[in-house]
Amino acid sequence: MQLLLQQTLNGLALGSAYALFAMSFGLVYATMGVLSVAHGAIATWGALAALYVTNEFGVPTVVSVLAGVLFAALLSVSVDQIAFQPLRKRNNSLGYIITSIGVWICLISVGETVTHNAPQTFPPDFISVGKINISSIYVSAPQVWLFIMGLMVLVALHMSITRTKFGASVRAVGFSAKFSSISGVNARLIAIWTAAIAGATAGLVGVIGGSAFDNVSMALGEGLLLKGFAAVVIGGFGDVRGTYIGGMLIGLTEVLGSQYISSSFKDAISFGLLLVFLVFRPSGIFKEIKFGAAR
Amino acid sequence: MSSDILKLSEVSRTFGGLKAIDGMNLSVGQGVIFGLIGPNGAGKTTLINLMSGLDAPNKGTIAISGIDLTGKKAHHFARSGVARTFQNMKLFKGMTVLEHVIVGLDSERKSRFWQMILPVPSERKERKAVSAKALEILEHLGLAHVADRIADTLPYGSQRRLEIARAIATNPKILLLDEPTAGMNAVESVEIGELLNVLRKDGLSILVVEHNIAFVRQFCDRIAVMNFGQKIAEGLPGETLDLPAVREAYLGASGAERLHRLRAGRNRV
Amino acid sequence: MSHFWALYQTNVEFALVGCVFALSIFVGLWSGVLSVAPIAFAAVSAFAIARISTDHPTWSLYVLLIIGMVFGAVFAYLSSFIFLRLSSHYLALATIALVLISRVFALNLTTITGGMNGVGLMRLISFPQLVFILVLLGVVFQRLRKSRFGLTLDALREQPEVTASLGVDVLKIQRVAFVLAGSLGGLAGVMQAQLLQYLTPDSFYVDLAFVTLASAVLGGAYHWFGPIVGSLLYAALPELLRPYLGSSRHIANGVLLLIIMLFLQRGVIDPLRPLPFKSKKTESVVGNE
Repeated sequence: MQLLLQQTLNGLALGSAYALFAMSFGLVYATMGVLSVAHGAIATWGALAALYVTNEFGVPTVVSVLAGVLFAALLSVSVDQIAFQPLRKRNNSLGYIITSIGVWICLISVGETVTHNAPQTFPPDFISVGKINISSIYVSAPQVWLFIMGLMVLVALHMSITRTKFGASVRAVGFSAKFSSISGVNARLIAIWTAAIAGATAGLVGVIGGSAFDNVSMALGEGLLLKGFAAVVIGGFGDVRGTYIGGMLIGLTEVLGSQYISSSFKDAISFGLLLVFLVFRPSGIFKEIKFGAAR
Repeated sequence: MSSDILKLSEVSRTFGGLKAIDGMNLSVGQGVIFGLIGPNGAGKTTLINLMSGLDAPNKGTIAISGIDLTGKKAHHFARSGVARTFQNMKLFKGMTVLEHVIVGLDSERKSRFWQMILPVPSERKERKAVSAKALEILEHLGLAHVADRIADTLPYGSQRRLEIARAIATNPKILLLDEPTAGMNAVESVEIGELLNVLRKDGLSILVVEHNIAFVRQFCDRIAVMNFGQKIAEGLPGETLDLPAVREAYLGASGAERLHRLRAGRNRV
Repeated sequence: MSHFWALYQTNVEFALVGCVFALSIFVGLWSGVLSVAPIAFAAVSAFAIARISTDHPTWSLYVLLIIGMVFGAVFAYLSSFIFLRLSSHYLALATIALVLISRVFALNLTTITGGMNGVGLMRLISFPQLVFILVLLGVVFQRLRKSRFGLTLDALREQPEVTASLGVDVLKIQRVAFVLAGSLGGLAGVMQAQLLQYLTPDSFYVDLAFVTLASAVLGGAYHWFGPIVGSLLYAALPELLRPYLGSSRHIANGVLLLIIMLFLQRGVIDPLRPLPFKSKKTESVVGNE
């Protein structure tokens, strides 16, 4: 019972990481129609930036996290404007995947050099000391932060997309860039803001996740990418709430499956479900209005 | 009538909340040039898509030569004798004129995949035969002299002709033409009309969607008028075009009224 | 020359197999389908052949290659019923999912694949044989290009609705292309296994899928020669820049891909862009091949 509780908590933390990443990934996909395989690398680069700032300047954790988040946001915007913006006029949605592969190659190759192809770690006191211990169930501080951040970002994104004028603009552009510009929405500005928010969130999960899992490497980003992709498909990408639940579901099944079935089986459920959903129910568990598909 | 090449019975097509086609009944007999007119948005192209199998109706049946093909895929319609052209002319980028017609002749070809990899004589023979047949079709349509030209280098009128050549390569019973004279001047339009007469003499039935009223008057045996997804009139071109309901559809109620008064000799409008 | 060979033989050999992978992706693109499924079929064939060649060390290379192609073709045929009914976007994603799942299988079917530890096999293939296979494929593709199959695929890719309305059973021809792509994937899988001589679950994963897709598009997905050029370019470029970029040299491929996607969307080899010595206008279908 205790093991179940422990692993459930672990699963919630991992699920939060996946959910965070999936929400940012899904945001770009749902609104811009861009499926970027480079997004995982952006998360890792956020972590690398935070790591650099911590090691070089020894500043408080908050500053490093902010640095990582900002760096990732800037990187995401640059990538969007250099690689994806020129494609927007062309109306070729499959071209985005291939261009993002180009970006991915660039980010990975430099990243592997910088990390010397070995996982880096944050200093042990990076995100507050010690673990919370409730009757010998351990939860580390980064794990708690992941969970909190997951919920906060979920609420923030959902509120802003559904309640604010900005959110309405984002949804309008996602539906049709051409028509939204008629109502005075600057599609390019929206694209930039969306890329920035998505990048920032990816950076956030990169930093905190990298700290929680003691692993800052390109593999971190790739793991987030693949599971995040699965979460977006299974949970549905039209609504961040569905995406969040998708991410949590995958995190939980991965940890619990790994514990109770076998560790080499942990990906089977996530990717198996992914394929099943793509074939039979591509709109996800929570069937929402699909936009971004009107290209 | 069982001699109808094309028969639509109570065909309806709804997109979300919009009824694009509503209870359509239409029959086209053998060797008839049938015109379909109506203002923009009346549903003419949707109807052609239904008649060629690129779309399926929500209600009603579509029969070709008495055989019910409702809900079948486009290539079934094609193999049952329906050929069509497109409003935005859809040529194959980079292909020659001859190659377009050869693609049209595909359903007649018998060579299997393995024959295409290995250098067997049967495949080469078939290729020569298909090329020859394609050239014949081009000759019939007056395009043989440009057989090896890249299709998008041709003048507009020839491109339209090529689209028709490609369509009739499938040896159809009925040809559906979506605005074949769009963008053409009077002379070119008459050339198309005369081509249709030739094709009709070959035994083909033709359904032509058109905005060019003069063309329809001159070349169609029978016409139907559509508006808001429904057929509002059908009959001989001359009398049908003069019906007040038809004029109203094009000009609006007040416009039709004005036209009526003008014609009655009053100067005041 | 022999010094060059000593340094670069491995690179060249892997580049040649990369060409076969790229051709498998190309066949899909030719039929209007973006699919990385051949990578998964390569995995199936590779592990199967590793097993088979260890159990039957006397079987010749060509027998193994053919078995690999058959495996690829069969698995492609069976999975085509699931994948080809999906719309293009979901199809692409589903094939990515297939590659992801293939790794899970590789990890868990330990009797065949050796699980995490992987499996080894003997190399039987020689460099001339690699070249020969590629030349043979070139001949096949050139024959296909102007054949009934090739012409119909060109038409299908350009205007799918028109092609259907001309009586072509689009699904059937896409299935043929899918199976062809699968068998090429199987072939590439066996060849790759021979060069690696040691397979792990990571040998045929999404990174290979993405890189192969990139090479095919980079080289040009509108002519069979394009993916070959793309793969060779993809292998050669980082090596040319090794003295200047060192361990980051692969960034050159990313930059190259971006440049191509922005300025030469149809890739390096594009039959519509006239070559200096041969204009498309003089090419005729009548009995020239």
